[in-house]
Amino acid sequence: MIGTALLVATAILLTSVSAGFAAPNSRSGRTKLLSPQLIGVLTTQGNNPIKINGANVKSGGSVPSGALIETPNGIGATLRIPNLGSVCISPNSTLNIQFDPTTGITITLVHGCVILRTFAGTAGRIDTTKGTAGQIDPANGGSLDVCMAPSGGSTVGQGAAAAAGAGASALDCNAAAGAAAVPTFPTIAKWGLIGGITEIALAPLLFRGGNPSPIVP
Amino acid sequence: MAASNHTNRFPLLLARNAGIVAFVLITLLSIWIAGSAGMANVLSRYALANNQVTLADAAVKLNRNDPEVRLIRAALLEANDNQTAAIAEYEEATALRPDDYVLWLALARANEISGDSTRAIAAARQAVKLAPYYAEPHWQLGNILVRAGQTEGFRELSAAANSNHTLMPGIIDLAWHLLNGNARAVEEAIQPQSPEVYRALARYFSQQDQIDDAIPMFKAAGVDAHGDIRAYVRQLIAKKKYIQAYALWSLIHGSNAQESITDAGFEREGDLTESGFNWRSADPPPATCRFALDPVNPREGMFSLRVDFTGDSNPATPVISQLVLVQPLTHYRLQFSTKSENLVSAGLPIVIVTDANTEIVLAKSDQFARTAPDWHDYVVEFTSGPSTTTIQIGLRRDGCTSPCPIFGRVWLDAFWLRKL
Repeated sequence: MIGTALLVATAILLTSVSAGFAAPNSRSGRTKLLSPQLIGVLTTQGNNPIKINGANVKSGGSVPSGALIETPNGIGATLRIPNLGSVCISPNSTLNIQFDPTTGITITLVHGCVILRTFAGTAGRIDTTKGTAGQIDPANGGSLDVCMAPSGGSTVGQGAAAAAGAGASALDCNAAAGAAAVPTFPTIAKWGLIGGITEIALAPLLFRGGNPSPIVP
Repeated sequence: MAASNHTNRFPLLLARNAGIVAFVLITLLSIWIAGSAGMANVLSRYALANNQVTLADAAVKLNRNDPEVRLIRAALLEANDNQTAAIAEYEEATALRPDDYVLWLALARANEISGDSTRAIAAARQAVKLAPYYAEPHWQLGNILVRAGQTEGFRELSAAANSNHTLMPGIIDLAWHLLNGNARAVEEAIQPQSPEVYRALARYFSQQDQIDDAIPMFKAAGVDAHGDIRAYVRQLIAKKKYIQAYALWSLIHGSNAQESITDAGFEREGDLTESGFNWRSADPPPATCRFALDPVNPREGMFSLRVDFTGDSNPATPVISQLVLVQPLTHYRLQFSTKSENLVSAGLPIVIVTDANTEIVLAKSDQFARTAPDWHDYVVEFTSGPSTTTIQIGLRRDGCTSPCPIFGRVWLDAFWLRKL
């Protein structure tokens, strides 16, 4: 059960149980309001930290427009931008992201892979050092995936980003990031079914005792 | 007739074997319950791995009372953009296990994604209430509050960072961006309460070149920040930001009256390699030059500085020097005492005063005597330039170009700078 809980926590990109403790904040003050801004919601694979503007940020973190995002080896991430769309980022990627309700989402991919998805009404664009790799028509929104090799070569719209593990989990971007941790149906279900059927079939024999009825079938 | 007998005997048999029947029924029921739970678990895992909501639905039908099965279905509904149903499912999960803060956080996140910040905050607050000493609920609540536009969120984030200091730079960076680079507002939002947080703020403000805002943070950070201060002073001096560098340096070394020389009589040991406003050797220190505090016959106090020259060194680079803050367009008199012994060089030592801002030479002394067993007082006068904030007083050599070896020794003591 604990394993399942951990699995769920990882797969749905929630929070993993932190080993640390935090002292309750004793100060209280009047709540002040920040100026209205669009802020992205970050989720990371396994709740591990990635770099936002050079600092460690983990799942649940807030990402403002203009941030430099760097994912380390083995850690994908997903950034959800309210009402605009989302960005799935593969491990070992570096990118800058700009977003605005008017201009949509613009990614400058330095290296690595991203999948950009925008809602209808939101424009999307992925630039690389070689220029614009692709754009999403705001009329319908849509999806665009781009990989940029360190050598400068780019791959557009071939599913390479999903194959590279873009996103914090399999649920985010149809990537394979989270699926690997889950036992597959043919293995576990098959044995579960076989075990269950066997148990049900054998139980009357094991616990039958004397013949409960003189009826002979 | 035979059939009738059988019919009549069945209740009798049943009653006679009631215990066995009950056992069989309980066993079958247990098997069914365990099997249902197991199958629900297997189905939900498979559904999660393959993003199949219908299987998650089936899993819930098999076992409606397993919060994990409900949680998985909620996650799948959410992943498939059915936010309303997802939230309802998360609520079912929290109702089944109301003391699990992780479930409340999941509900909070789903509510936030669906645009209901009020419910998101309420759910996250419940998570904090259930696990007030865990960092994670504070982290999640803080971020949700910040995204809802409430600066209170930074205090929650700070609480999370208390147990994970690596989070603090990211929190400060977020505050910096959301508060439009206003350092005071960042400090007010973060409300630092520990030296570590002050240090993190000091570092961040330094990186943003907000030196005046960084200084009180460094001061509040205490001894732990001395390494950072030294490094930052070095950077500031390299950028010729002497006034700010002095303000920082004095946090460690104490504040002298401006326009005065630190340790003017060489009365205490110091680190000649440390960048700042004390006596400092050339960087790198020349191997052919040694320094020592000499207690024998000082000009004043307990010691004088003895400098032993044993070979080649760049004559244009001061072997020892000190930066001193001064006023622009002001006339000064520098006084000091020297003696020397067996100096052999084409370029004998002098004391030179340069404008540290422009590197223009403001004044220089006469060359030292090759041998002068008694103390000799020197006086040089100079006027600082219009942009001068700092001068450098240095011991170097005059009259030759490199290579220019020098042998012998000199003593220095009783420096005194006076505004005229």
